[in-house]
Amino acid sequence: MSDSSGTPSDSRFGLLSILPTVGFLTVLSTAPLLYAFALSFQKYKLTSPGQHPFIFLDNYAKVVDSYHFEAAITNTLVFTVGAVVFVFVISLIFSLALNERFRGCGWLRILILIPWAIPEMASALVWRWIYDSHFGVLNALLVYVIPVFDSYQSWLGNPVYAMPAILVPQIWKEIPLCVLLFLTGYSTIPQSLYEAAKIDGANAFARFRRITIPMLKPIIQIILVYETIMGIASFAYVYILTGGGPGDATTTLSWYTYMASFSFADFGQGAAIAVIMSIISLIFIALYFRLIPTRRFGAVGV
Amino acid sequence: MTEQKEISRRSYLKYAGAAVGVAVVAAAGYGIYQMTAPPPKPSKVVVDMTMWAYDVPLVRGSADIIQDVYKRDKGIDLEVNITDVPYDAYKSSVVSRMQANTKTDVLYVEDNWMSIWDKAGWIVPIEDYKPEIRDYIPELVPAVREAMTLHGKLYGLPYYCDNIIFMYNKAHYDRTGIDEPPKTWDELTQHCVQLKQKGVSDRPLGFAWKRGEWTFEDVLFSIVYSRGKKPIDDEGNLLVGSGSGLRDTFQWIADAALKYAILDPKSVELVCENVQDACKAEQYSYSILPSYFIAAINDPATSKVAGQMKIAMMPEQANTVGFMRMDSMSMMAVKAGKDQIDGAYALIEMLGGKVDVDGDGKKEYYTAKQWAIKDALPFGIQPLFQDPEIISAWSKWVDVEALGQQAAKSVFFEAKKYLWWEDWRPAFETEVHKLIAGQVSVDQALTNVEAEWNKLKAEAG
Repeated sequence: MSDSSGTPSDSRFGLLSILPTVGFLTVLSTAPLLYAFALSFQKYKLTSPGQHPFIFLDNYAKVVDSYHFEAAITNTLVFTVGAVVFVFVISLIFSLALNERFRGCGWLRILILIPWAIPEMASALVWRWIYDSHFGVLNALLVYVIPVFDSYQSWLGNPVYAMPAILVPQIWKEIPLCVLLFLTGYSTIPQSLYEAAKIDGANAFARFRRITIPMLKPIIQIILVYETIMGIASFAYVYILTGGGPGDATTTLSWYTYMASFSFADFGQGAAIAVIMSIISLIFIALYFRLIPTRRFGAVGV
Repeated sequence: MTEQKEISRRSYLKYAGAAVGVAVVAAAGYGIYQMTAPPPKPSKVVVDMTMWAYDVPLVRGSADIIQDVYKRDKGIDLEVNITDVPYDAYKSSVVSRMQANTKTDVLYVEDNWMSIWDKAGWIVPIEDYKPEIRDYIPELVPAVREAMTLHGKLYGLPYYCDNIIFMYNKAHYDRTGIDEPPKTWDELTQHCVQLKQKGVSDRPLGFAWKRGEWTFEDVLFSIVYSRGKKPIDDEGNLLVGSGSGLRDTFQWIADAALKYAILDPKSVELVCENVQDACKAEQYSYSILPSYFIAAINDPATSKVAGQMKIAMMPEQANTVGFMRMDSMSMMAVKAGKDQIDGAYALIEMLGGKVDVDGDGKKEYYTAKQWAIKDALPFGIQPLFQDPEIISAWSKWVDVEALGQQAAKSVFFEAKKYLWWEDWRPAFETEVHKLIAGQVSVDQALTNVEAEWNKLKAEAG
């Protein structure tokens, strides 16, 4: 029965309308997660076809006790924290600059999207050439153009340089989206707040600190959560650029889960590593929600 | 009227009975025919092949030929569908295909994965279904035959089979005044030091030792085998004690990298193509790589050192590691029945064996020769080393006789047959990297690789 004011039965109808799609998407996204979770408690080695007993936490014990785990979890945390911090800071600075009106700012806003548009594997191959220790353009730049070094460096082969070397393309790729999110956030901040603050004598830094940052908290939360997940799950740059080396300098959990599943042919172990990655992501997310509480926004001007 | 009805009923019963009798006899006859007659020929057999993307048009060309040959010889249409993926994604794509039961009849198999894929039930010993494959055994290079054999049975026919060879830049030697290539690994060290002192090359040695690089272990263990020593004993234990080949090799690597600074530390990020390019640009005086790469290094169109890179036998005992990539048949093809097996084997034989392409009764290694002449791809078939067309094509970049001599000393690295081989490789490569960087001592590196080997061996049961 349709109510002329439209509220209860319209809502019910709306919910029913979207239920099939939401249901389908929920099943599509959660079914693999639940399956992987269940798999992590089974012995699922491809060399033992048809024998998949429940082994409770044995896969997790095996992963934690493995040769690669300590390096993988340390490097994953270092990579993730580094990516989140640098992406956040650099994109905040870029977005503040692009938020100003100047000649060519429209074009810059478009050009900044380019790294985001390039598929990750393709960009990893390009970066591999940039870093090449015999013929790479980065070495040529730093030896012949801006003479910082007197010989070509092994960016991907030196244990000290390797982690920063894989961080740079990750940061480069993620900046565009975060700049876009920040720019979107700026557009929601009422200008009247800035005008009132100016009248009260607040300088630019004070306005940034007291108005911009608090008003951007929801966006900041989204960026931190998203970039953390991207950092933990990042695989292409490790796989293409270093293979997890040199030594174990860039061995990460994402590399480890791939190797466990497809090289070691142990899907149970691979699933266990993936669950561990998810738990780490959830811990970070919980931390963000705790440290950066956000409120519901009322009407503009309140 | 009644009389006519009675006659009709009687007649009806008579004729109906006769009809039923005929039907029964016919059915019985048909049943006997079905039991004794040969099954009807299929109108078409579809064979699905997956491969990594290397000269796919050549494989497609061979597939087109076998389609015509199959129709000619058996009167059956054969359709070959090929799916190619980049090499780096091939192993994971096969795992996905097999888990998803995606139709795959023929596939490339590498010696590193063979045992695992066999244990997983994905590939089959072809001679169980096509015993005639054993006719190829006398013509296979012994190391290749051993590599393609599991549980005493042959699992495929060769696609790309090669050996690790020792290459040196003759022009660098002439500039340094060294007459002969090194006979021992210590002599190689001395030569490298001389090359360095004369300013010919700062780091004369470079290896393709990026983690996960396909030749990593083949190259390193070729150094072990060349010392006349085995890295694994007959019980599957890794030999790392005093005087072992692996210990001597690790010590040599550490000294080359750290003590004499003749081994380029960039080796830990290099793949074979990088080393090839560095040799072409005259940055390295030596290369220990699969022989496949010498063609490009000596190519006058792209190489600064064309004609200068020469083969020498591996130092000391001259043994080296041989490896194989083969065309194999999947369990899916076997489960699909005899026609599928025949079709799959026809394709495998076209790609790795001998086929009568022209219909003149003469069988030839058509595809293997194509690979060798067009792409300089080495093979695992002994008679082809005497093929005049191949010798003529290869003489442009390599001493074919020397290549054959080295191939004769190649051995199959038996560790690849252990189920934990793929699990162990990343840990081994990590320790080699740490050794080169000076992060671990030789003793520590060997202890770590042995501990990981033993742990994985125990887990495998």
